[in-house]
Amino acid sequence: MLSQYLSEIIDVEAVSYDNWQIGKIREQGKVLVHFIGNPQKENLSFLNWNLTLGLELSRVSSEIMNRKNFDIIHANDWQTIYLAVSLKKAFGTKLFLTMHSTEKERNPYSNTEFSKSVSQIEWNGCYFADKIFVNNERTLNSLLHDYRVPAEKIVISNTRKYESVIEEYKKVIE
Amino acid sequence: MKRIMHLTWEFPPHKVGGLASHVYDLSRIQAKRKDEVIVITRNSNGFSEYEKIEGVHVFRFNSNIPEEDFVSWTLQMNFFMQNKAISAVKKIGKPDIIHIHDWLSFPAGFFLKHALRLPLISTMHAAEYGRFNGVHNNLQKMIHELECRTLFESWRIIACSNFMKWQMHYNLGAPLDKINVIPNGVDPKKFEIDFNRIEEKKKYALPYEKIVLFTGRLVHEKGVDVFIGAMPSILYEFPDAKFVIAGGGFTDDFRRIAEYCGVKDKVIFTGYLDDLELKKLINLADVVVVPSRYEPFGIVALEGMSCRKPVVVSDTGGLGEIIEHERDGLKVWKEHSESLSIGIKRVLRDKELSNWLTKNAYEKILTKYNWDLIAKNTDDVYSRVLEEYNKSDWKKN
Repeated sequence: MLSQYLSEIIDVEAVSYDNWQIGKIREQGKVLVHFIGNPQKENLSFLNWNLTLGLELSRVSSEIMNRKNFDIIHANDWQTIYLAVSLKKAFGTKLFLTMHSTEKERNPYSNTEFSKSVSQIEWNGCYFADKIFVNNERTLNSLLHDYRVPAEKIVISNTRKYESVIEEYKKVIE
Repeated sequence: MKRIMHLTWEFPPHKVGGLASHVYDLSRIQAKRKDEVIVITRNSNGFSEYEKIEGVHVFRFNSNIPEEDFVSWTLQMNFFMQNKAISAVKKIGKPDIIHIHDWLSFPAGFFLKHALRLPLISTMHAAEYGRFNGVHNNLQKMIHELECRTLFESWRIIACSNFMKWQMHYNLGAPLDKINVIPNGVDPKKFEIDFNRIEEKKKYALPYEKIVLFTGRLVHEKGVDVFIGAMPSILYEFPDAKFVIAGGGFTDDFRRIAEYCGVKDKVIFTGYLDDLELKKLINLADVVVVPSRYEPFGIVALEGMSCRKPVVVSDTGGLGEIIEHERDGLKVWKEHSESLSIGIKRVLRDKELSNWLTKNAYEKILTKYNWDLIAKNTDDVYSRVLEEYNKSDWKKN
Protein backbone atom coordinates (compact mmCIF):
# COMPACT_ATOMS: atom_id res chain seq x y z
CA MET A 1 0.00 0.00 0.00
CA LEU A 2 2.81 2.37 0.86
CA SER A 3 4.42 1.84 -2.52
CA GLN A 4 1.09 2.54 -4.25
CA TYR A 5 0.74 5.81 -2.32
CA LEU A 6 4.29 6.78 -3.11
CA SER A 7 4.05 5.91 -6.78
CA GLU A 8 1.70 8.86 -7.17
CA ILE A 9 4.55 11.24 -6.50
CA ILE A 10 7.74 9.32 -7.28
CA ASP A 11 9.14 6.41 -9.26
CA VAL A 12 8.90 3.21 -7.17
CA GLU A 13 10.26 -0.28 -7.73
CA ALA A 14 9.88 -3.11 -5.23
CA VAL A 15 11.68 -6.42 -4.79
CA SER A 16 9.78 -9.15 -3.04
CA TYR A 17 9.73 -12.87 -2.37
CA ASP A 18 7.13 -15.04 -4.02
CA ASN A 19 8.05 -18.58 -4.77
CA TRP A 20 5.24 -18.91 -7.32
CA GLN A 21 6.27 -15.92 -9.41
CA ILE A 22 10.07 -16.24 -9.49
CA GLY A 23 11.68 -14.00 -12.09
CA LYS A 24 8.47 -12.17 -12.96
CA ILE A 25 8.35 -8.39 -13.11
CA ARG A 26 4.81 -7.10 -12.63
CA GLU A 27 3.43 -3.63 -12.92
CA GLN A 28 1.07 -3.19 -10.00
CA GLY A 29 -0.47 0.23 -10.44
CA LYS A 30 2.57 2.40 -11.10
CA VAL A 31 4.89 0.20 -9.05
CA LEU A 32 7.21 -2.23 -10.77
CA VAL A 33 7.48 -5.35 -8.59
CA HIS A 34 10.34 -7.83 -9.09
CA PHE A 35 9.58 -11.28 -7.67
CA ILE A 36 12.37 -13.53 -6.49
CA GLY A 37 12.77 -16.95 -4.93
CA ASN A 38 15.49 -18.43 -2.78
CA PRO A 39 17.85 -20.54 -4.88
CA GLN A 40 19.32 -22.08 -1.73
CA LYS A 41 17.30 -25.28 -1.28
CA GLU A 42 18.89 -26.55 1.92
CA ASN A 43 18.51 -24.27 4.92
CA LEU A 44 18.94 -25.22 8.54
CA SER A 45 16.60 -22.69 10.07
CA PHE A 46 14.37 -19.71 9.38
CA LEU A 47 17.32 -17.43 10.08
CA ASN A 48 19.41 -19.28 7.51
CA TRP A 49 16.62 -19.12 4.99
CA ASN A 50 16.35 -15.37 5.44
CA LEU A 51 20.06 -14.82 5.15
CA THR A 52 20.34 -16.83 1.95
CA LEU A 53 17.25 -15.13 0.55
CA GLY A 54 19.11 -11.88 1.26
CA LEU A 55 21.76 -12.97 -1.25
CA GLU A 56 19.21 -13.24 -4.03
CA LEU A 57 17.58 -9.97 -2.95
CA SER A 58 20.97 -8.30 -3.12
CA ARG A 59 21.60 -9.67 -6.62
CA VAL A 60 18.31 -8.41 -8.03
CA SER A 61 18.44 -5.10 -6.16
CA SER A 62 22.00 -4.47 -7.37
CA GLU A 63 20.91 -5.16 -10.92
CA ILE A 64 18.08 -2.62 -10.63
CA MET A 65 20.26 -0.04 -8.91
CA ASN A 66 23.01 -0.40 -11.49
CA ARG A 67 20.44 0.31 -14.20
CA LYS A 68 18.75 3.28 -12.56
CA ASN A 69 19.68 5.82 -9.91
CA PHE A 70 17.58 5.62 -6.78
CA ASP A 71 17.42 8.18 -3.97
CA ILE A 72 16.02 5.96 -1.27
CA ILE A 73 16.10 2.32 -0.25
CA HIS A 74 13.19 1.43 1.98
CA ALA A 75 13.57 -1.81 3.95
CA ASN A 76 10.91 -3.51 6.00
CA ASP A 77 11.72 -5.42 9.18
CA TRP A 78 14.82 -7.46 9.95
CA GLN A 79 14.58 -9.83 6.99
CA THR A 80 15.91 -7.28 4.52
CA ILE A 81 18.09 -5.16 6.78
CA TYR A 82 21.54 -6.58 6.05
CA LEU A 83 21.03 -6.33 2.33
CA ALA A 84 19.63 -2.81 2.56
CA VAL A 85 22.51 -1.55 4.68
CA SER A 86 25.07 -2.92 2.23
CA LEU A 87 23.20 -1.42 -0.72
CA LYS A 88 23.14 1.94 1.04
CA LYS A 89 26.90 1.77 1.51
CA ALA A 90 27.59 0.56 -2.02
CA PHE A 91 25.31 2.99 -3.87
CA GLY A 92 25.34 5.91 -1.45
CA THR A 93 21.55 6.11 -1.21
CA LYS A 94 19.49 7.07 1.83
CA LEU A 95 18.12 4.19 3.87
CA PHE A 96 14.61 4.27 5.32
CA LEU A 97 13.51 1.45 7.55
CA THR A 98 10.05 0.54 8.71
CA MET A 99 10.04 -1.51 11.89
CA HIS A 100 6.65 -3.21 12.13
CA SER A 101 7.71 -4.71 15.44
CA THR A 102 10.96 -5.65 17.16
CA GLU A 103 12.28 -9.01 18.34
CA LYS A 104 12.19 -7.69 21.90
CA GLU A 105 8.45 -7.12 21.49
CA ARG A 106 7.77 -10.47 19.87
CA ASN A 107 9.91 -12.56 22.21
CA PRO A 108 10.70 -10.39 25.24
CA TYR A 109 12.10 -13.21 27.38
CA SER A 110 13.82 -15.20 24.69
CA ASN A 111 17.54 -15.74 25.03
CA THR A 112 18.03 -18.05 22.08
CA GLU A 113 20.78 -17.54 19.51
CA PHE A 114 18.05 -16.89 16.95
CA SER A 115 16.59 -14.05 18.99
CA LYS A 116 20.02 -12.63 19.66
CA SER A 117 20.82 -12.70 15.94
CA VAL A 118 17.56 -11.02 14.96
CA SER A 119 18.04 -8.37 17.63
CA GLN A 120 21.53 -7.70 16.39
CA ILE A 121 20.30 -7.39 12.82
CA GLU A 122 17.58 -4.97 13.96
CA TRP A 123 20.11 -2.95 15.93
CA ASN A 124 22.36 -2.70 12.88
CA GLY A 125 19.43 -1.61 10.74
CA CYS A 126 18.51 1.12 13.21
CA TYR A 127 22.12 2.23 13.47
CA PHE A 128 22.61 2.63 9.72
CA ALA A 129 19.11 3.86 8.78
CA ASP A 130 18.60 7.55 8.06
CA LYS A 131 14.96 7.42 9.18
CA ILE A 132 13.01 4.75 10.98
CA PHE A 133 9.23 4.49 10.75
CA VAL A 134 7.12 2.75 13.35
CA ASN A 135 3.40 2.14 13.41
CA ASN A 136 2.75 2.26 17.12
CA GLU A 137 3.99 3.54 20.47
CA ARG A 138 5.03 0.09 21.62
CA THR A 139 7.56 -0.36 18.84
CA LEU A 140 8.72 3.21 19.37
CA ASN A 141 9.41 2.46 23.01
CA SER A 142 11.16 -0.75 22.16
CA LEU A 143 13.47 1.08 19.75
CA LEU A 144 14.15 3.82 22.28
CA HIS A 145 14.80 1.55 25.25
CA ASP A 146 15.98 -1.78 23.83
CA TYR A 147 18.11 -0.51 20.97
CA ARG A 148 18.83 3.00 22.26
CA VAL A 149 17.90 4.60 18.94
CA PRO A 150 18.03 8.42 19.03
CA ALA A 151 14.45 9.73 19.16
CA GLU A 152 14.99 12.23 16.33
CA LYS A 153 15.61 9.34 13.95
CA ILE A 154 12.18 7.78 14.52
CA VAL A 155 8.92 8.84 12.89
CA ILE A 156 5.55 7.47 13.91
CA SER A 157 3.45 6.80 10.87
CA ASN A 158 -0.13 5.73 10.57
CA THR A 159 -0.50 2.37 8.88
CA ARG A 160 -3.29 3.57 6.63
CA LYS A 161 -2.34 7.16 5.81
CA TYR A 162 1.42 7.41 5.44
CA GLU A 163 1.53 11.24 5.43
CA SER A 164 4.58 11.30 7.66
CA VAL A 165 6.40 8.82 5.42
CA ILE A 166 5.59 10.83 2.34
CA GLU A 167 6.82 13.97 4.12
CA GLU A 168 10.19 12.33 4.75
CA TYR A 169 10.41 11.13 1.16
CA LYS A 170 9.71 14.65 -0.07
CA LYS A 171 12.48 16.04 2.13
CA VAL A 172 15.01 13.73 0.49
CA ILE A 173 13.78 14.38 -3.03
CA GLU A 174 13.75 18.13 -2.57
CA MET B 1 49.16 -3.06 -12.42
CA LYS B 2 46.00 -4.67 -11.15
CA ARG B 3 43.99 -3.86 -8.09
CA ILE B 4 43.02 -7.08 -6.33
CA MET B 5 40.70 -7.54 -3.40
CA HIS B 6 41.02 -10.73 -1.34
CA LEU B 7 38.18 -11.70 0.97
CA THR B 8 39.20 -14.14 3.67
CA TRP B 9 37.86 -15.08 7.09
CA GLU B 10 41.36 -15.60 8.49
CA PHE B 11 44.58 -13.68 8.04
CA PRO B 12 47.70 -13.57 10.25
CA PRO B 13 48.04 -13.11 13.15
CA HIS B 14 44.55 -14.63 13.41
CA LYS B 15 44.77 -18.22 12.16
CA VAL B 16 42.34 -21.11 12.08
CA GLY B 17 43.77 -23.34 9.37
CA GLY B 18 46.11 -23.04 6.39
CA LEU B 19 44.05 -20.41 4.60
CA ALA B 20 45.57 -17.53 6.55
CA SER B 21 49.13 -18.35 5.51
CA HIS B 22 48.07 -18.89 1.92
CA VAL B 23 46.38 -15.51 1.56
CA TYR B 24 49.18 -13.79 3.46
CA ASP B 25 51.92 -15.18 1.21
CA LEU B 26 49.99 -14.72 -2.02
CA SER B 27 48.97 -11.14 -1.22
CA ARG B 28 52.45 -10.00 -0.15
CA ILE B 29 54.04 -11.44 -3.31
CA GLN B 30 51.34 -9.79 -5.44
CA ALA B 31 52.11 -6.49 -3.73
CA LYS B 32 55.81 -7.08 -4.44
CA ARG B 33 54.89 -7.56 -8.11
CA LYS B 34 53.51 -3.99 -8.04
CA ASP B 35 49.85 -4.96 -7.86
CA GLU B 36 47.67 -3.02 -5.44
CA VAL B 37 46.36 -5.59 -3.01
CA ILE B 38 43.54 -5.20 -0.52
CA VAL B 39 42.70 -7.87 2.05
CA ILE B 40 39.40 -7.81 3.91
CA THR B 41 39.44 -10.04 6.96
CA ARG B 42 37.97 -10.63 10.37
CA ASN B 43 39.28 -8.95 13.49
CA SER B 44 39.07 -11.35 16.37
CA ASN B 45 41.64 -10.18 18.85
CA GLY B 46 41.67 -6.43 18.90
CA PHE B 47 44.14 -6.06 16.03
CA SER B 48 44.36 -2.81 14.14
CA GLU B 49 41.38 -2.11 11.86
CA TYR B 50 43.65 -0.97 9.06
CA GLU B 51 47.32 -1.56 8.49
CA LYS B 52 49.71 -1.93 5.61
CA ILE B 53 51.62 -5.17 5.83
CA GLU B 54 54.42 -5.65 3.30
CA GLY B 55 52.62 -3.36 0.86
CA VAL B 56 49.21 -5.01 1.35
CA HIS B 57 46.26 -2.94 2.56
CA VAL B 58 44.69 -5.03 5.32
CA PHE B 59 41.23 -4.01 6.50
CA ARG B 60 39.79 -5.83 9.49
CA PHE B 61 36.16 -5.77 10.53
CA ASN B 62 34.82 -6.39 13.98
CA SER B 63 32.07 -8.92 14.26
CA ASN B 64 30.43 -10.11 17.41
CA ILE B 65 27.86 -12.51 16.08
CA PRO B 66 25.51 -14.85 17.95
CA GLU B 67 26.05 -18.38 16.66
CA GLU B 68 22.81 -20.24 16.03
CA ASP B 69 24.78 -22.55 13.77
CA PHE B 70 28.02 -22.23 11.85
CA VAL B 71 26.38 -21.34 8.55
CA SER B 72 24.20 -18.55 9.95
CA TRP B 73 27.25 -17.23 11.78
CA THR B 74 29.20 -17.23 8.51
CA LEU B 75 26.41 -15.56 6.56
CA GLN B 76 26.17 -12.80 9.14
CA MET B 77 29.95 -12.44 9.30
CA ASN B 78 29.86 -11.82 5.55
CA PHE B 79 27.59 -8.83 6.07
CA PHE B 80 30.33 -7.13 8.05
CA MET B 81 32.88 -8.27 5.49
CA GLN B 82 31.04 -6.74 2.53
CA ASN B 83 30.49 -3.47 4.38
CA LYS B 84 34.18 -3.25 5.20
CA ALA B 85 34.98 -4.05 1.57
CA ILE B 86 32.83 -1.14 0.42
CA SER B 87 34.62 1.17 2.87
CA ALA B 88 37.92 -0.09 1.46
CA VAL B 89 36.72 0.60 -2.09
CA LYS B 90 35.93 4.17 -1.08
CA LYS B 91 39.37 4.60 0.47
CA ILE B 92 41.61 2.78 -2.02
CA GLY B 93 39.47 2.54 -5.17
CA LYS B 94 37.42 0.00 -7.06
CA PRO B 95 39.28 -3.27 -7.53
CA ASP B 96 39.67 -5.02 -10.88
CA ILE B 97 39.20 -8.48 -9.39
CA ILE B 98 37.52 -9.89 -6.33
CA HIS B 99 39.24 -13.03 -5.12
CA ILE B 100 37.46 -15.14 -2.52
CA HIS B 101 38.80 -18.12 -0.62
CA ASP B 102 36.40 -20.99 0.04
CA TRP B 103 32.65 -20.64 0.54
CA LEU B 104 33.28 -18.78 3.79
CA SER B 105 33.63 -15.49 1.96
CA PHE B 106 31.27 -16.30 -0.89
CA PRO B 107 28.24 -14.25 0.28
CA ALA B 108 30.33 -11.07 0.48
CA GLY B 109 32.02 -11.84 -2.83
CA PHE B 110 28.62 -12.48 -4.39
CA PHE B 111 27.28 -9.14 -3.17
CA LEU B 112 30.33 -7.20 -4.36
CA LYS B 113 30.31 -8.97 -7.71
CA HIS B 114 26.75 -7.88 -8.42
CA ALA B 115 26.78 -4.47 -6.75
CA LEU B 116 30.07 -3.34 -8.28
CA ARG B 117 29.79 -5.50 -11.42
CA LEU B 118 33.20 -7.04 -11.02
CA PRO B 119 34.60 -10.44 -11.93
CA LEU B 120 34.76 -12.93 -9.08
CA ILE B 121 37.52 -15.51 -8.76
CA SER B 122 37.50 -18.22 -6.16
CA THR B 123 40.16 -20.49 -4.76
CA MET B 124 38.76 -23.67 -3.29
CA HIS B 125 41.03 -24.99 -0.59
CA ALA B 126 38.76 -27.86 0.43
CA ALA B 127 35.24 -29.13 -0.12
CA GLU B 128 32.69 -30.43 2.35
CA TYR B 129 31.96 -33.43 0.14
CA GLY B 130 35.54 -34.64 0.36
CA ARG B 131 35.98 -34.11 4.10
CA PHE B 132 33.43 -36.76 5.00
CA ASN B 133 33.29 -38.70 1.76
CA GLY B 134 29.85 -37.36 0.92
CA VAL B 135 27.29 -35.08 2.53
CA HIS B 136 25.36 -36.80 5.26
CA ASN B 137 23.46 -34.22 7.28
CA ASN B 138 21.63 -30.95 6.71
CA LEU B 139 24.53 -28.75 7.81
CA GLN B 140 26.82 -30.47 5.31
CA LYS B 141 24.15 -30.26 2.61
CA MET B 142 23.85 -26.53 3.14
CA ILE B 143 27.59 -25.98 3.02
CA HIS B 144 27.82 -28.19 -0.06
CA GLU B 145 25.14 -26.15 -1.79
CA LEU B 146 26.90 -22.90 -0.93
CA GLU B 147 30.14 -24.34 -2.32
CA CYS B 148 28.37 -25.26 -5.55
CA ARG B 149 27.03 -21.71 -5.79
CA THR B 150 30.52 -20.33 -5.13
CA LEU B 151 31.82 -22.22 -8.14
CA PHE B 152 28.79 -21.32 -10.25
CA GLU B 153 29.19 -17.59 -9.59
CA SER B 154 32.96 -17.54 -10.12
CA TRP B 155 34.38 -16.36 -13.40
CA ARG B 156 37.25 -18.78 -12.93
CA ILE B 157 38.11 -21.23 -10.20
CA ILE B 158 41.57 -21.95 -8.83
CA ALA B 159 42.13 -25.44 -7.46
CA CYS B 160 45.15 -26.19 -5.31
CA SER B 161 45.67 -29.65 -6.84
CA ASN B 162 44.48 -31.89 -9.65
CA PHE B 163 42.69 -33.91 -7.02
CA MET B 164 40.64 -30.85 -6.08
CA LYS B 165 39.98 -30.06 -9.71
CA TRP B 166 38.34 -33.45 -10.22
CA GLN B 167 36.54 -33.25 -6.89
CA MET B 168 35.02 -29.93 -7.93
CA HIS B 169 34.06 -31.33 -11.31
CA TYR B 170 32.49 -34.58 -10.14
CA ASN B 171 31.08 -33.58 -6.77
CA LEU B 172 30.31 -29.88 -7.15
CA GLY B 173 29.45 -29.75 -10.82
CA ALA B 174 32.09 -27.21 -11.88
CA PRO B 175 32.93 -27.26 -15.59
CA LEU B 176 36.49 -28.45 -16.17
CA ASP B 177 37.33 -25.62 -18.55
CA LYS B 178 36.64 -23.10 -15.80
CA ILE B 179 39.25 -24.51 -13.44
CA ASN B 180 42.97 -23.68 -13.20
CA VAL B 181 45.25 -25.75 -11.03
CA ILE B 182 47.75 -23.65 -9.07
CA PRO B 183 49.38 -25.36 -6.08
CA ASN B 184 49.98 -23.67 -2.77
CA GLY B 185 53.47 -22.61 -1.91
CA VAL B 186 55.85 -22.15 0.95
CA ASP B 187 58.69 -19.76 1.72
CA PRO B 188 61.60 -21.86 3.05
CA LYS B 189 63.35 -18.75 4.41
CA LYS B 190 60.59 -18.41 6.97
CA PHE B 191 61.66 -21.70 8.49
CA GLU B 192 65.33 -20.77 8.85
CA ILE B 193 65.26 -19.61 12.45
CA ASP B 194 67.88 -19.43 15.15
CA PHE B 195 67.01 -20.90 18.51
CA ASN B 196 68.49 -22.93 21.31
CA ARG B 197 67.75 -26.45 20.08
CA ILE B 198 68.76 -28.21 23.31
CA GLU B 199 66.55 -26.05 25.50
CA GLU B 200 63.67 -26.18 23.05
CA LYS B 201 63.85 -29.95 22.69
CA LYS B 202 63.50 -30.33 26.45
CA LYS B 203 59.90 -29.17 26.08
CA TYR B 204 58.99 -32.19 24.02
CA ALA B 205 61.49 -35.00 24.38
CA LEU B 206 64.64 -36.27 26.07
CA PRO B 207 67.92 -35.35 24.35
CA TYR B 208 68.41 -38.82 22.83
CA GLU B 209 64.81 -39.28 21.69
CA LYS B 210 63.77 -39.06 18.04
CA ILE B 211 60.83 -36.78 17.40
CA VAL B 212 58.15 -38.06 15.06
CA LEU B 213 55.95 -35.05 14.39
CA PHE B 214 52.35 -34.55 13.35
CA THR B 215 51.01 -31.03 12.92
CA GLY B 216 47.48 -30.05 11.97
CA ARG B 217 43.96 -29.86 13.28
CA LEU B 218 43.01 -32.86 15.39
CA VAL B 219 40.01 -33.94 13.34
CA HIS B 220 38.93 -37.18 11.72
CA GLU B 221 40.12 -36.41 8.21
CA LYS B 222 43.68 -35.70 9.36
CA GLY B 223 44.15 -39.34 10.41
CA VAL B 224 45.61 -38.77 13.88
CA ASP B 225 44.11 -42.10 14.96
CA VAL B 226 45.95 -43.82 12.08
CA PHE B 227 49.17 -42.26 13.35
CA ILE B 228 48.53 -43.40 16.91
CA GLY B 229 47.79 -46.89 15.60
CA ALA B 230 51.26 -46.97 14.01
CA MET B 231 53.06 -46.06 17.24
CA PRO B 232 53.32 -49.47 18.98
CA SER B 233 55.03 -50.99 15.96
CA ILE B 234 57.48 -48.06 15.70
CA LEU B 235 58.25 -48.22 19.42
CA TYR B 236 59.00 -51.93 19.16
CA GLU B 237 61.94 -51.13 16.87
CA PHE B 238 62.70 -47.60 18.10
CA PRO B 239 61.96 -47.39 21.82
CA ASP B 240 63.59 -43.95 21.81
CA ALA B 241 60.95 -42.49 19.46
CA LYS B 242 58.81 -39.67 20.80
CA PHE B 243 55.56 -38.72 19.10
CA VAL B 244 54.57 -35.08 19.13
CA ILE B 245 51.08 -34.13 18.01
CA ALA B 246 50.75 -30.37 17.54
CA GLY B 247 47.39 -28.72 16.92
CA GLY B 248 44.00 -28.12 18.41
CA GLY B 249 40.78 -30.04 17.99
CA PHE B 250 39.37 -33.22 19.52
CA THR B 251 42.44 -33.74 21.71
CA ASP B 252 40.69 -35.72 24.45
CA ASP B 253 39.37 -38.28 21.99
CA PHE B 254 42.82 -38.91 20.56
CA ARG B 255 44.36 -38.96 24.01
CA ARG B 256 41.95 -41.78 24.88
CA ILE B 257 42.97 -43.68 21.74
CA ALA B 258 46.64 -43.27 22.71
CA GLU B 259 45.85 -44.63 26.17
CA TYR B 260 43.96 -47.55 24.65
CA CYS B 261 46.96 -48.35 22.39
CA GLY B 262 49.27 -48.25 25.42
CA VAL B 263 51.43 -45.41 24.08
CA LYS B 264 50.19 -42.47 26.14
CA ASP B 265 53.59 -41.97 27.84
CA LYS B 266 55.27 -41.63 24.48
CA VAL B 267 52.87 -39.07 23.00
CA ILE B 268 52.74 -35.36 23.66
CA PHE B 269 49.72 -33.32 22.68
CA THR B 270 50.93 -29.76 22.54
CA GLY B 271 47.60 -28.12 21.71
CA TYR B 272 47.53 -25.12 19.38
CA LEU B 273 50.99 -23.63 18.82
CA ASP B 274 51.75 -20.19 17.46
CA ASP B 275 53.73 -19.77 14.27
CA LEU B 276 57.16 -19.44 15.85
CA GLU B 277 56.73 -22.40 18.19
CA LEU B 278 55.54 -24.52 15.31
CA LYS B 279 58.52 -23.61 13.16
CA LYS B 280 60.89 -24.48 15.98
CA LEU B 281 59.15 -27.79 16.48
CA ILE B 282 59.35 -28.75 12.80
CA ASN B 283 63.06 -27.88 12.89
CA LEU B 284 63.50 -30.21 15.86
CA ALA B 285 61.66 -33.15 14.29
CA ASP B 286 63.40 -36.22 12.87
CA VAL B 287 60.48 -37.07 10.63
CA VAL B 288 57.27 -35.26 9.70
CA VAL B 289 54.18 -37.40 9.27
CA VAL B 290 51.04 -36.49 7.31
CA PRO B 291 48.61 -39.41 7.70
CA SER B 292 45.53 -37.65 6.30
CA ARG B 293 42.47 -39.43 4.98
CA TYR B 294 41.47 -36.35 3.00
CA GLU B 295 43.90 -33.65 1.98
CA PRO B 296 43.11 -31.26 -0.88
CA PHE B 297 46.70 -30.07 -0.85
CA GLY B 298 48.84 -30.81 2.21
CA ILE B 299 50.81 -27.68 3.12
CA VAL B 300 52.26 -29.47 6.18
CA ALA B 301 54.30 -31.68 3.87
CA LEU B 302 55.78 -28.59 2.22
CA GLU B 303 56.65 -27.13 5.61
CA GLY B 304 58.47 -30.29 6.57
CA MET B 305 60.29 -30.32 3.23
CA SER B 306 61.29 -26.66 3.73
CA CYS B 307 62.96 -27.57 7.02
CA ARG B 308 64.85 -30.39 5.28
CA LYS B 309 62.97 -33.07 7.20
CA PRO B 310 61.96 -36.39 5.66
CA VAL B 311 58.20 -36.58 5.19
CA VAL B 312 56.00 -39.66 5.28
CA VAL B 313 52.57 -39.02 3.82
CA SER B 314 49.47 -41.03 3.04
CA ASP B 315 48.85 -41.40 -0.67
CA THR B 316 45.71 -39.30 -0.84
CA GLY B 317 44.47 -36.15 -2.57
CA GLY B 318 46.99 -33.38 -3.14
CA LEU B 319 49.59 -35.08 -0.93
CA GLY B 320 49.97 -37.82 -3.50
CA GLU B 321 50.75 -35.17 -6.10
CA ILE B 322 53.33 -33.31 -4.00
CA ILE B 323 55.42 -36.31 -3.09
CA GLU B 324 57.23 -38.52 -5.53
CA HIS B 325 57.68 -41.81 -3.69
CA GLU B 326 61.27 -42.60 -2.64
CA ARG B 327 62.51 -39.44 -4.35
CA ASP B 328 61.38 -36.56 -2.13
CA GLY B 329 59.38 -38.38 0.52
CA LEU B 330 57.67 -41.66 1.28
CA LYS B 331 54.06 -42.41 0.38
CA VAL B 332 52.11 -44.95 2.39
CA TRP B 333 48.61 -46.36 2.12
CA LYS B 334 45.95 -44.12 3.54
CA GLU B 335 44.08 -45.23 6.66
CA HIS B 336 46.69 -47.95 7.16
CA SER B 337 48.65 -47.76 10.39
CA GLU B 338 50.91 -50.69 9.51
CA SER B 339 51.91 -49.13 6.20
CA LEU B 340 52.51 -45.81 7.95
CA SER B 341 54.73 -47.45 10.58
CA ILE B 342 56.79 -49.14 7.85
CA GLY B 343 57.36 -45.76 6.16
CA ILE B 344 58.33 -44.01 9.41
CA LYS B 345 60.66 -46.82 10.44
CA ARG B 346 62.39 -46.73 7.05
CA VAL B 347 63.42 -43.10 7.38
CA LEU B 348 64.38 -43.51 11.03
CA ARG B 349 66.48 -46.54 10.19
CA ASP B 350 68.12 -45.41 6.97
CA LYS B 351 69.99 -42.11 7.35
CA GLU B 352 71.17 -42.22 3.75
CA LEU B 353 67.63 -42.54 2.43
CA SER B 354 66.53 -39.75 4.73
CA ASN B 355 69.25 -37.41 3.41
CA TRP B 356 68.43 -38.26 -0.20
CA LEU B 357 64.76 -37.50 0.33
CA THR B 358 65.34 -34.20 2.11
CA LYS B 359 67.84 -32.99 -0.50
CA ASN B 360 65.45 -33.66 -3.39
CA ALA B 361 62.48 -32.33 -1.46
CA TYR B 362 64.20 -29.01 -0.78
CA GLU B 363 65.07 -28.61 -4.46
CA LYS B 364 61.44 -29.27 -5.34
CA ILE B 365 60.30 -26.58 -2.92
CA LEU B 366 62.60 -24.03 -4.55
CA THR B 367 61.58 -24.86 -8.11
CA LYS B 368 57.93 -25.87 -7.98
CA TYR B 369 56.36 -24.46 -4.83
CA ASN B 370 57.88 -21.00 -4.66
CA TRP B 371 55.54 -18.06 -4.27
CA ASP B 372 56.90 -16.06 -7.20
CA LEU B 373 55.84 -18.79 -9.58
CA ILE B 374 52.46 -19.16 -7.89
CA ALA B 375 51.82 -15.41 -7.98
CA LYS B 376 52.76 -15.34 -11.67
CA ASN B 377 50.36 -18.19 -12.47
CA THR B 378 47.63 -16.50 -10.48
CA ASP B 379 48.30 -13.27 -12.33
CA ASP B 380 47.89 -15.13 -15.64
CA VAL B 381 44.45 -16.23 -14.49
CA TYR B 382 43.57 -12.64 -13.52
CA SER B 383 44.73 -11.33 -16.92
CA ARG B 384 42.65 -13.90 -18.76
CA VAL B 385 39.58 -13.07 -16.69
CA LEU B 386 40.02 -9.33 -17.18
CA GLU B 387 40.40 -9.77 -20.91
CA GLU B 388 37.14 -11.74 -21.07
CA TYR B 389 35.43 -9.39 -18.64
CA ASN B 390 36.34 -6.27 -20.62
CA LYS B 391 34.75 -7.75 -23.73
CA SER B 392 31.69 -9.04 -21.91
CA ASP B 393 28.14 -7.73 -22.13
CA TRP B 394 27.87 -8.12 -18.39
CA LYS B 395 30.38 -5.32 -17.85
CA LYS B 396 28.84 -3.07 -20.52
CA ASN B 397 25.27 -3.46 -19.25
